[in-house]
Amino acid sequence: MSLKKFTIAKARALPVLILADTSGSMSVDGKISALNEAIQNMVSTFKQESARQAEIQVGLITFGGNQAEMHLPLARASEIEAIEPLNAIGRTPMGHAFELATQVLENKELITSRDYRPVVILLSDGIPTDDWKNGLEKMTSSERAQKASRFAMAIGEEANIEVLDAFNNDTEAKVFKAHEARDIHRFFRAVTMSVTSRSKSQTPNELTPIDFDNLENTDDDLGLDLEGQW
Amino acid sequence: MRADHLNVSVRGPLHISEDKPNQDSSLIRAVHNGWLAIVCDGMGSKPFSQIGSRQACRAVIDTVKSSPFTIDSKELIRSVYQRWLSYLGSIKPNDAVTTCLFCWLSRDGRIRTFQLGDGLIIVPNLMSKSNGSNNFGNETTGLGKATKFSDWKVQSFTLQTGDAVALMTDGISEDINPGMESQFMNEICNQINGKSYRQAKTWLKNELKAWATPNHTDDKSIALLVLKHDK
Repeated sequence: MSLKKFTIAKARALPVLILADTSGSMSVDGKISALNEAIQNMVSTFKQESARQAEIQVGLITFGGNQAEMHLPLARASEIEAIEPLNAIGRTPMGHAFELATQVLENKELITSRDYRPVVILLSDGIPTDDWKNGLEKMTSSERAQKASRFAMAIGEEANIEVLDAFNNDTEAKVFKAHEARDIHRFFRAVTMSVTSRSKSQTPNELTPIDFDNLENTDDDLGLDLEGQW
Repeated sequence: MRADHLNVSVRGPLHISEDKPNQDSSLIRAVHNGWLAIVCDGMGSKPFSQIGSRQACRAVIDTVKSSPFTIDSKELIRSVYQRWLSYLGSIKPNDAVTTCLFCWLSRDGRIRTFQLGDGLIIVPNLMSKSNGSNNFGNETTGLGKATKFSDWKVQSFTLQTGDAVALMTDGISEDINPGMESQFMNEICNQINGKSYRQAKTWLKNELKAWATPNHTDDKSIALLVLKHDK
């Protein structure tokens, strides 16, 4: 007889929730395809890391058209076979995305009290078309959702920095500004490194600092932009 | 009455792989009017958490040794905290943050339990779990961080012969299936019943080393007291 039958047979999770702008403006200049590729790469990297100290989970909320949608429910990265490519269309219901994210973060069955503090990533190229302040207020005033680490990326010059600044709660990393499609990849690589570093850390609740002003542009990236600039 | 007791602390896989010491501390001592069980979990991100947890155990023992069983809870906690701060010497309290769980069992079966931070104290028909449902894993408080009496969970009641009480760090408590905490403690009591102290300790140590939860990392400490009739 042993104590095994009393223990939880599931590793602690480190949830990563992506809030992706899929409004119509994301369809130009290769932004949506760069985003699709960057998310796929991130999940692929997480898959390789999921057997570490914390099991990385990924969820994807999109906001484009009339309302936000749970494009990919929170799932173990190691079990995600494929993510349906994002399509960019319609308006920018960012406030609704905040509300959906808050629901996920507050769901104690989905993210239990033994799981690590979640990371929420917001990326947008435009101006919200709904009541984003109300949505963000719900997130930042709720008991659990407010504890999540929040990063933001502004895509292009039209992005509303005020909104992204209000969302971002990492005092060491300001809103990252992507001027070109390849910057989306750089942002995701940096966040991926931070999350995987946390998942291996002795203290997975503590954020690994990201210096968005000095992101490495190494790997195999030749710095070529085949998808245009904006 | 007498008390059977057992305490075990093992390094977690992370500290083993990084060749770091166990940051938990646990012990059980006979004191002038009963027994004292303590488990402390040094906060992993702090440079002197190992010292913090060890000195917390020392502070509790020294305070209890010089106090009557009926000492006011707030006074007891303040005294433990002050001793801990003085034992740290030049180390900053914030660099040695540690949880602190202890129970004081008198020879006539009265028991007082004190808990600051994560972990669990299992007592008959009663369960205290500091981990509020709005927290995420490893969010905790402790000596060096908490400054209010209300940060502590304090209980007192009376044990019957055969009753057990178990204190454990969150490396164990967080991985026990919710609702199975008492069964977990009872299973340990059943398994060590009839074993010598050394056999019981070896068995429990092996169980903690062979912990079944996937990707578990934490150090694990548990202290157990079982109230018995005098032989």
